[in-house]
Amino acid sequence: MEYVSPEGLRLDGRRPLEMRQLRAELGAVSRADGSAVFEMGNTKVIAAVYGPREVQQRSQQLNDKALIRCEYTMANFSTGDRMRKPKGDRRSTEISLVIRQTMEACILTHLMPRSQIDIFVQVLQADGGTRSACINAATLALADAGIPMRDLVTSCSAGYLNSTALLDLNYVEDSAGGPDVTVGILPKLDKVTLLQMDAKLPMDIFENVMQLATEGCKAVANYIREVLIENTKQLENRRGV
Amino acid sequence: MLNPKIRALQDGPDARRRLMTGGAHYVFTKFCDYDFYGYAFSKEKPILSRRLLRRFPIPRRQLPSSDTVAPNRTGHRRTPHIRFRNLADAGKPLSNTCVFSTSTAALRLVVPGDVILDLSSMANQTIKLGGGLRQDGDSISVMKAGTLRFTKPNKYWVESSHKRYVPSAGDNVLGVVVDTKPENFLVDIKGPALAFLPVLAFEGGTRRNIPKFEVGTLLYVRVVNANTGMNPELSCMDANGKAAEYGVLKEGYMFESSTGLSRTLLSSPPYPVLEALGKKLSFEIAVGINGRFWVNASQSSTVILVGNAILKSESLSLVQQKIYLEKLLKNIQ
Repeated sequence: MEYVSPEGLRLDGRRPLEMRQLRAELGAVSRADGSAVFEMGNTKVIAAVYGPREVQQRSQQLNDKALIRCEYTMANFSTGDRMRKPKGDRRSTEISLVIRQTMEACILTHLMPRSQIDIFVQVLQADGGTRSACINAATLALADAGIPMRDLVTSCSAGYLNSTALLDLNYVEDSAGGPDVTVGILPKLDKVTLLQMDAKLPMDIFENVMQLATEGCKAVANYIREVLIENTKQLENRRGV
Repeated sequence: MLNPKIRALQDGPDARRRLMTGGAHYVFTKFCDYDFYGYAFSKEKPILSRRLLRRFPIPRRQLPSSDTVAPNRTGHRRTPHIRFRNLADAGKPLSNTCVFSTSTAALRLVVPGDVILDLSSMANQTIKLGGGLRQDGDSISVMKAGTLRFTKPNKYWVESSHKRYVPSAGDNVLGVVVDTKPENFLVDIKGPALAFLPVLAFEGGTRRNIPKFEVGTLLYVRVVNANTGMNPELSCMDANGKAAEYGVLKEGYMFESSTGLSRTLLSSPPYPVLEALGKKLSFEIAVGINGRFWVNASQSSTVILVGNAILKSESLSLVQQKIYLEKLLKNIQ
């Protein structure tokens, strides 16, 4: 199948190095300590953060750092055909783990010993790149909750189809079976916290694709930064400072 | 540990001054004027009297932008000496001494990961870091989104508004009793852990007269100790062992808000919404810096009105607040 037309346009009309439109909103869940909605094109994810609070299961308590828990779920209505999936299947367990590890790398857990931070992410609309969208939403929710972080961790994916490197794959491109490289970075520190690929790629092409995904992450980081600053500005205005 | 200057202030004979340091416990009377209630003792806007509030220009050159900061360099320069206080909630003062300095300036809006200072390019000087900032090698970076604030000569902190509270010693908070133990009351102060209120931490408290608090009792308390890894410790006495205004808040209603709103309610000059409400209505309000406030009045309708007005005002701009209040207060008459 042709994923990039001779004119250099993808199936959804984007150019190979173009990202989907980003949209983010803070404070979507009123009961949570921090929450956010993050959209990448048609992919829409909601994240809620609770804590730092007392550890619920005493046996899990860590005496030198905070315990971070993450739960990833997909809403039944999020995909094209409505399906009833059991909670905690292999895929969502794996993604929960990935998000948790990525977040642990940026949260300053040693400042909050003997406490627990819960991150809940739910996919409302799935159109490829849910993993990246979840990480971005979780970052925003953590920042909204005021949890101390090293940096804003951001994530973006890139792929390689029709001998073209493509940024930010959508569902059709994702299910084409080609390589899908998901990268998570700490933009200010310039460190990689997540790198996943479920196919094979020659070394030189892989470097290109990863570079592309990293650039995507930086673009997301700029956007998230703007959203947070805008939010602070609004709070300031209201207080008339 | 209280700063000796503060202690002197509290020991002083001047009753009005005592009210200022005694915490935020406004008592509004029907035709209240500035003289009828004391100013709140607000820490990030440290003011002794309104006339002392002055703002000074911001020393821009001391803040290299994050782009110009060089990566860790190994030189023979002596890194500036840094004194850390506990990395507590945003908007905390850096030390009690900053209470007496009157210049607080907002520098810029920051997000986690921003580098605000490069120590390698600074002369050998001491800087003090407050909530939301940390040292990472040769640079000072931000770990919370908010406004970077600076007080002369060398104090930096990040101020932001959150739903959860990070305890810090010296804060006046509203707590709810959750459980009673032989030695302590367990109190929820919206923090990461339940706080301990020793049963003897009351004025003239002895083993004989331990107060009886039911679960759900609302208390106005002071945080005495807040170390990481330990439950925070509370007290119902001021530094002199007097009950001051601490203790049970009977009747009334407690509203939950954010730490940012609490700080605005405690700010001086008084929050315009409070002032406007106080001119028309008679009520009592106690504000805890942990994002809770308690309102009491002779009529429950007043309590509801005041609580809702304050909660709603958080999402309004100054002009909108004015219009909203005018409308609201017109309906009362």
